[in-house]
Amino acid sequence: MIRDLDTVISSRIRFARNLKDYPYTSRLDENGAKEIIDRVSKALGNEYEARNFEKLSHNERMSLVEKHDVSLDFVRSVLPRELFVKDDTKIMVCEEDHIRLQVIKNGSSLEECYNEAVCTDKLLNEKLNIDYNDTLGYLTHCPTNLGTAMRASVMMFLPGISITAKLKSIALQLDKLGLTIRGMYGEGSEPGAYIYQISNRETLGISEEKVISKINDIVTQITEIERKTRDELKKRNGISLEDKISRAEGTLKYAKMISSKEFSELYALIRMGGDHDISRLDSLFCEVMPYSLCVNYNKSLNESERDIYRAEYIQKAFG
Amino acid sequence: MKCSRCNKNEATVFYKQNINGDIKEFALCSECASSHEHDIYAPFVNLNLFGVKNIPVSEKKRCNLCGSSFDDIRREGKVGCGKCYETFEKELRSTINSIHGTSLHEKRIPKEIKEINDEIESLKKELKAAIENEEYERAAILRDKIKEKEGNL
Repeated sequence: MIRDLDTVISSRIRFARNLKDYPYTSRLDENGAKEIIDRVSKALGNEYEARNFEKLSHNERMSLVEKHDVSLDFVRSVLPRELFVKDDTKIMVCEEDHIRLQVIKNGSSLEECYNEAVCTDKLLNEKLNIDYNDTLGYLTHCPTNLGTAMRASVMMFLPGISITAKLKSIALQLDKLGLTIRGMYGEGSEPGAYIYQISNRETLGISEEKVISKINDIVTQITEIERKTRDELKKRNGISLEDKISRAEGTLKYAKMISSKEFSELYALIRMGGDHDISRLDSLFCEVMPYSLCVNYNKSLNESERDIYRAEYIQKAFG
Repeated sequence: MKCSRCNKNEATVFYKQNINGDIKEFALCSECASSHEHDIYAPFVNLNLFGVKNIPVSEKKRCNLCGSSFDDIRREGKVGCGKCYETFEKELRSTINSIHGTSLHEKRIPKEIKEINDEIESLKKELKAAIENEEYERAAILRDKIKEKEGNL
């Protein structure tokens, strides 16, 4: 079951791992990188599909960034790289660290993501010589990630809290708890979608479990505040909010050109309205981002062409 | 030049955006650049995590796996390899401490072991209650159970 989809878009666990006896990526040469890719590939076995990242076009690579399957740093890296995939588990080899393992799932699902990530992590630890010591935990390229080398994050949809200017006070309090909240707009997408990411800062001296339960607790609290705020907004604005949502639907169904900025705003209104399949709406949000759109239509499009194709794509999706 | 967003203040933050070759240039004032809608464009400033005070380090000391000196690490803000954490343990310790407030890792406890630990915890509570109630026979049984569980760990 997907939990709290009205306020939580997705959850993610990410582990950083490095192979012992190899220089880290800033000091690694091409042959070293190839060797590491080879070793990881053998350790993972056939269940994990290698995506042949080096052969992908720039548009295809950037569309993976828009889907959050890989990071922008991964695309920009000059070393040989590879992406391995098994269901919701994605493994970037030769990002900042030799291995970045991540699991993303819809809704509030940090525990499920964690359990899946641990499965792959166990496999890697059994088959490879991973850099680890008892005092510093997992050794990482950047010392800020030492310890568990785990980043847990939850992407939240917070139009109510955002409109009513409650975000700043939430951010200040999260900071005291070692958590961070920041605005999230995919590469190339526009602001205005009210999407925020909450993640942990601490990795050393705190257990993985504690980090996850801390974030889950906060997400539950923020979810309650968001729901209450939306109810208040609906009560106060009554028909005028309903009108806005209906107009947004009309625009999505009939407009001939939709910019990504406009789509972000329409998406937020419709998501808040809650009359549509939210999971479908969220995947549509990624599918109509600039690079994904180019990949879906299998050609490079300029901005105004994209706006036309975006409108067309959305209308097909809405049936 | 005036800010292209508010059209009031002087623009101080300039950036280029390139999406599939569509290049857009923006000029914003500091307020608009750091407003939450635009904060993605606020410039990122890199501070040196290792500090800029001169820590006396032997320039000759280099990591024998990746060849980094401590100066290299300080400049890049990242170690060169896992061995650097051993080679420059002393030099890195204060940085790690100031980033994390600690330098001791908390290990992952496997589920099976955690379950046994929880069982031992609750048996210990029962044992304490049994002793307080002077139920010594029960206490003896509980004590043996705890020993057995601890043996399983």
